[in-house]
Amino acid sequence: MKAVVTEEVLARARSGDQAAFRLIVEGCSRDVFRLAFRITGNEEDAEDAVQETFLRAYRKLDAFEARASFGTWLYRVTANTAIDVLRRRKRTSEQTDLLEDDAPAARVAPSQEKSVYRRQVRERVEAALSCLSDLERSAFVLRHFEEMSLAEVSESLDTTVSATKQALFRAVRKLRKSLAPVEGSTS
Amino acid sequence: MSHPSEEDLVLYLYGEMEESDFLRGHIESCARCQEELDLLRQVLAEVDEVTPPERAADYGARVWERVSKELPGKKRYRAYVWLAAAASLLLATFLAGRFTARPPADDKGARSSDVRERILLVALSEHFERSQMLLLDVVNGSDGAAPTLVPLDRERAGELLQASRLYRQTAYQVGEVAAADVLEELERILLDVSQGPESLEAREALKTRIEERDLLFKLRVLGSTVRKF
Repeated sequence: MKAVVTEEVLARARSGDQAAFRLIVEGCSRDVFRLAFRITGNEEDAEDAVQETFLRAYRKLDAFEARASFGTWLYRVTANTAIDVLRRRKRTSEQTDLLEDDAPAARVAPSQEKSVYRRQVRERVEAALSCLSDLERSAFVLRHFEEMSLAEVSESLDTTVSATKQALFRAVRKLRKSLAPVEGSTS
Repeated sequence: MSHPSEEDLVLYLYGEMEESDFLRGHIESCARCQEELDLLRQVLAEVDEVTPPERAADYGARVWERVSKELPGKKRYRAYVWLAAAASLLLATFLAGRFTARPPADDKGARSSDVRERILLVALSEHFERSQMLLLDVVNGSDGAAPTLVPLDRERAGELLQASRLYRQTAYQVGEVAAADVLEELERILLDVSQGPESLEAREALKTRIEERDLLFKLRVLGSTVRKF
């Protein structure tokens, strides 16, 4: 996590000081959004996850162990929240539109695309990422994009290092398989 | 020698392979492994093409605007749970007149729970205020020429100490860990005050502990939470 939360602000927030909690929200929102977007794969769900993450964090702040890294702890809350949002979205999607087969690609806002090629790559990657399980996607996102160590990832996801490794291996294998047709053509 | 597995290459790529792992040497010198690594890098480079949309500079403020609307209700609910639980534990103490000179429930019947909780809110608020006043006496009274506490202060500290223990136990039981931690810090100070710091040095040390732990500020926050309820 790039944002830094001082011990003083943290202590004040834990004592119930909302002004201090506001500093945390304002300072960490972009980091939380980035991770939530990586896990959920779309802006709308990521925004929901951001709001829910901070509400959960506020409720759980008392239980936060001051000895641990606050960034890792907040990432854990974010990852779990984003996974929950993702599951809710999947359930809704399955119930309302069983025939739709291009959901991941359709969720990318066209206005953000720089070119047709980039859009195609993005759609392919989004589709590949959507094939990962929640744990695989979360482990991959935290290790690859957030550059956390496997130990930190396992702490964030509340699992073992061994399980994290296996999830990462499966994620890379699936991505490689999904993206294999263009291997060697995008470097 | 057989080539490393894909898992080994992933660990190597992410810098998670042990420095002492003998496979490192093989990977770094084997053309086939380097080729495999390049393929992996290309796949991961493609994944990097998907970047999260940028958020505006005021994004954090906008998130706070949304989040803050949800906070007061939850905080009030938590305070309600805590104080309602405190009511059951503190009722006997309250009726015995430890915190107030009011008589116990009259003969016309039991008080409603709302009234009881309101009284306990007042008692809690009073507790925090009285504790603050005592701590202020300690902080402000150690600069002058009268370093010792008068007997009244020690007696008051003893009373507050007993009340604080009850509140802390209740707070722990209902999961208000932060509040319980503050009350525990307060108790340590109250205990020392009730025993009477006999030297100027002891008084100064007490003052330093109060200031370093920001105890007056924390008590103000707790008191403010209770008053809002």
